[in-house]
Amino acid sequence: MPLGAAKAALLGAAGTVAEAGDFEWIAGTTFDGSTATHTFSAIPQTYNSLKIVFYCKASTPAFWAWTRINGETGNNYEMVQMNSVSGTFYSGELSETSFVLGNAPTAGYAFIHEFEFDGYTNTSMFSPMFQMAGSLDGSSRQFEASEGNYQSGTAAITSVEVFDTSGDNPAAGSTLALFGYKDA
Amino acid sequence: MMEHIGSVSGTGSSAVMTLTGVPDTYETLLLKGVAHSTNAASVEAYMRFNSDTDYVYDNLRGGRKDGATFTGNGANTSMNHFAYIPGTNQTSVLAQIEMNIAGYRAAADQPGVCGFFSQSNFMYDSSDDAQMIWTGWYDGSNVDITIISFHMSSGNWGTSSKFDLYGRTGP
Repeated sequence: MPLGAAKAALLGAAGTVAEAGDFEWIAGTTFDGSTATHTFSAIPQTYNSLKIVFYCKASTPAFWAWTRINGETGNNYEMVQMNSVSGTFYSGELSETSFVLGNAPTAGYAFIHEFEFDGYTNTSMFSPMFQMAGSLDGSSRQFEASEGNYQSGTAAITSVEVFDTSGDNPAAGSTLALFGYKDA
Repeated sequence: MMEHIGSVSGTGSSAVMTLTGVPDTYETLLLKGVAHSTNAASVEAYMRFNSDTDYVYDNLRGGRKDGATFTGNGANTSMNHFAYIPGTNQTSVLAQIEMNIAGYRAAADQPGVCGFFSQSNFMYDSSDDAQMIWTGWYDGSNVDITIISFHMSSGNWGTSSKFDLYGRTGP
């Protein structure tokens, strides 16, 4: 299958195509400290893959981030979780009512989190996911990675909710963004 | 910036998917996609550069497989193992792959051999799954890599399989 040769011929060397990015911002929010959740809804079905990037600073006591797909609350989120908390490594399989993300273990500290959905428009198979998060504070250094899929039917992913289960809100200035990888 | 280079999709009747004509204008490549096999049991997925069948591929892998921690490696093989792919026994399950490929241009242009690191994931249940981190490299002819082919140990690439290749441009 012919690939980018034609594009390269048309647009020239790498420097000249730098503005024609095929990885683009879809939607996002900056938290103001008063809300614990955000939902990306009506996600366009025109991308090859999705990425969520969450920069979250905890207020009190801490923020635990979870992600729910298409509003589904059943026990249909299958994943392997791998994490390290203060130097102790853990891995194991989980079935949950949402995908576990990362956390900021101490008020005033932050975590950075990335979530990848490939095949999210597929309507005949379950949608798989990767996620990885890291946090750092003085007493509880932690990274969190999980990989799995969403086993509630085979509908395309049209909404993603990021929420907290600890009763906390992301601190003002925390940002959450949805990006898409697309064809040229 | 990221630029989409091209894609390949499974047909259900071929054990090989091939990306050709990869331009030599990018700093690194990013491969993303999903895959499944027409084989009943899960299978191993491999990739080959420039159709080179010499024993010049090496990899390391680790994570979890079938409910337990897992590590492995392949040295001096004829293509590089990069993922485990679900079959029809793992109903409706797709593997997910994200791979970064560096040094894919000739040594005269980009020093060192071509290498990759990647993640792969498929989840059926708590005792039938594979989630791993991989790294590997290619010791063959150090010329521009323009062809990347994807192979599997048994069966064919299922019709929901699709890989997209992106290139990262420099400053």
